[in-house]
Amino acid sequence: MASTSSVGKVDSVVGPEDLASTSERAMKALSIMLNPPHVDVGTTPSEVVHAEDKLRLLHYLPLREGPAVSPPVLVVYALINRPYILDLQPDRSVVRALLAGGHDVYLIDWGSPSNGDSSLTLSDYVDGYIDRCVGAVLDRSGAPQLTLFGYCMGGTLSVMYAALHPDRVRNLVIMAAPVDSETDDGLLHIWSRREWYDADKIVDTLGNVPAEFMNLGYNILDPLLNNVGKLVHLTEIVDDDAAVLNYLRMEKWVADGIPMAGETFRQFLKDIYQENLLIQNRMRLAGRVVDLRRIDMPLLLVMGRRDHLVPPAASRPLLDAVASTDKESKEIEAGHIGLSVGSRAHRELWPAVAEWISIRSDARQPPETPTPGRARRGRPPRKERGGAVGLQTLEGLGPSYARRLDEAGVKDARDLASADLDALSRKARIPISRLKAWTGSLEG
Amino acid sequence: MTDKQGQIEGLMEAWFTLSEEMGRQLSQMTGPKAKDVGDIFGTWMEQSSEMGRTMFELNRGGPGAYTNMRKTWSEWSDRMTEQFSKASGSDRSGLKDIQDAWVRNATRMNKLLTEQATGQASAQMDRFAKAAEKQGATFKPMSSKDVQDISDLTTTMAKYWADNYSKVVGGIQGIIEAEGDASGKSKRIYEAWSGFTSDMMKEVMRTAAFSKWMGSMRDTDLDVMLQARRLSEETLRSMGSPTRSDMDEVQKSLKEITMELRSLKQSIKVKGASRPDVKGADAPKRKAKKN
Repeated sequence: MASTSSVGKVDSVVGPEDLASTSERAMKALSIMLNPPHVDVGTTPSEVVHAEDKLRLLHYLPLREGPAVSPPVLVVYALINRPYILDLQPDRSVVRALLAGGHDVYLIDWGSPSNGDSSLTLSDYVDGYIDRCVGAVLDRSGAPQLTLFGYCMGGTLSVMYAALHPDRVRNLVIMAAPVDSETDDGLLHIWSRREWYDADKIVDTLGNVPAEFMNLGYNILDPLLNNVGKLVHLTEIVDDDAAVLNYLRMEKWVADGIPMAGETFRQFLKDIYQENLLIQNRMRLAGRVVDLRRIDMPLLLVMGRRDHLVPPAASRPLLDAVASTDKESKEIEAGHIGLSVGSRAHRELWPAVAEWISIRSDARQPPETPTPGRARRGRPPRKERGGAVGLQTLEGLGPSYARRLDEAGVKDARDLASADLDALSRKARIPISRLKAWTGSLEG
Repeated sequence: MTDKQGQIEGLMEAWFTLSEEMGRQLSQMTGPKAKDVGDIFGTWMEQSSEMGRTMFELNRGGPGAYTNMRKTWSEWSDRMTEQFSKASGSDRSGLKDIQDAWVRNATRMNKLLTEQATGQASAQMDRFAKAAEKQGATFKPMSSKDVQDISDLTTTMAKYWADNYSKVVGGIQGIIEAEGDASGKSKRIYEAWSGFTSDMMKEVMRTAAFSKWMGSMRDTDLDVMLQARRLSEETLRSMGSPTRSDMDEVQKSLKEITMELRSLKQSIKVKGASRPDVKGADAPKRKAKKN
């Protein structure tokens, strides 16, 4: 009787046809996992325009005819995993969304550090690699500033860069980046407390911190979902070829980790997660204080409400810490990765982000012949930028250029208009194209 | 001889003793009944002795001994191949004898190995722990606080289970007993179960006890890795081979030189950019100064 009753209950839950179908799909899913087909990722055409050590700076080719929006957008990716999550597939590509908005897009692909890179510090990344990439983008585009777009840890690095070099950043877009660890919202913030997380021991033992080590931590954030749930999900979608390919692209990215330079890991863990120095303006890079109050450019903060890696509570305080008057946040129902590849994000978020940047950029114009001097929409000129009288409103004239002009004897607009631009370019170390644009602007 | 060399020799000696004993036992087992097998094991035993001696020399002697070890290894390999070849090629019945002897003796060998290995492994672990302690590692037994932390962990889990179990089981029961098509029920049951389990895990993982436990596990793993690396470095150093630390140092120097070079190039580029000015009014003055 017991047996009959039991069978009856099973029948009422899973009918024989349902059982057969589930079993068949499970076998098919298993077969796919054991012999996954090749999947293409990061397919948006690009060219390498700068390379040093393991790093490659990619410049994406425009998707449409005509001039791009100026200034260009530089995407700073995290030092974890590979950046193609931002270009996973054509219909779920942040890069394409920006290109579709008419932007000129560059991206830093950090590459995979070797043991020889284990001594690299955050300063090497921020003041070294990122600064040189910014220089390469500005030189190439002719723009005096760029829009800096940082994702995850790359967002934190971008915040540091913007605080140290505000004159080179026109707009700042920060996506799912940890800047304040004073929260219990995410398990990573709890687990990484110094009482039980010995960053020194990890780095002293491992050198570079392997991807597998970090992935283990991410995996157990939601062990059931990551180890059972996603296999169940594959069984459910196994008859939908397109969905399976999407699934496999994501799996490829998850497994495609890179190690993190040991000293960078140590510093990031201690300064950001354990001591929470950044948000308190107490963090130092190569002796210089990273003061978030120096960030005064337009700021957009992008967050996922279901982000369990970097919960909004770890990002949101940035809005209050900066001096920007033009600042806002966008939150959607998405997780950390869903922000990049989710269908909702690509339907609702990314077109809006591309538009946000456009509004704070110049009208579309060829990158080679920018027209500085045009009043910036949404951003009043800052008088404190230019030391030279009458030059403050010139497009792209930050404190650095103002100082150089001043040192070269150019005190005001009249001096600039009458200067020998070739000689001034060499003396002040300012591109001739920029000087010509400024004088053209004055004449206009 | 340093303590570390003593430790390494101790480990080698243990291995060698075990090998020799195995060879002796195996030789006795097979001996007269299957001459070929006896030859093979005899050869193995003889050569093991030679290998053992060479390894001792290697530990003391550096690169020269390494050459000897390779020579011995090569001879051992050649003679073993020759014996196997003779056994399998000369006489089919002889081969059968070898197979029978192998199956028969494998059982006894496993028993012997288990007995020997249990003692040896225990002794080797003791040695390893002592060596590690000498190098400052801390393999501490669990304190009463550690026990309390684990107890807190299981208590949290048990409490969550007790608080939510009846609700979840009731929910699943409701899905099972609901009228209508069975289609979709299995998925709803899975979702109820996985939601409950996942929430319970998250609740547990948020506790300080879990973080402490995970930290402790990680630190222990790292300690073992560190000690294993130190031991391997000692061994490599005694062989005159470069170690990971040596390579790291070289790589670090190369990195610093590369960065220095980049910085110099940048300085030259900046100076180069301002050079046309020098060619103008300033250039003659500089030349004049030199003269």
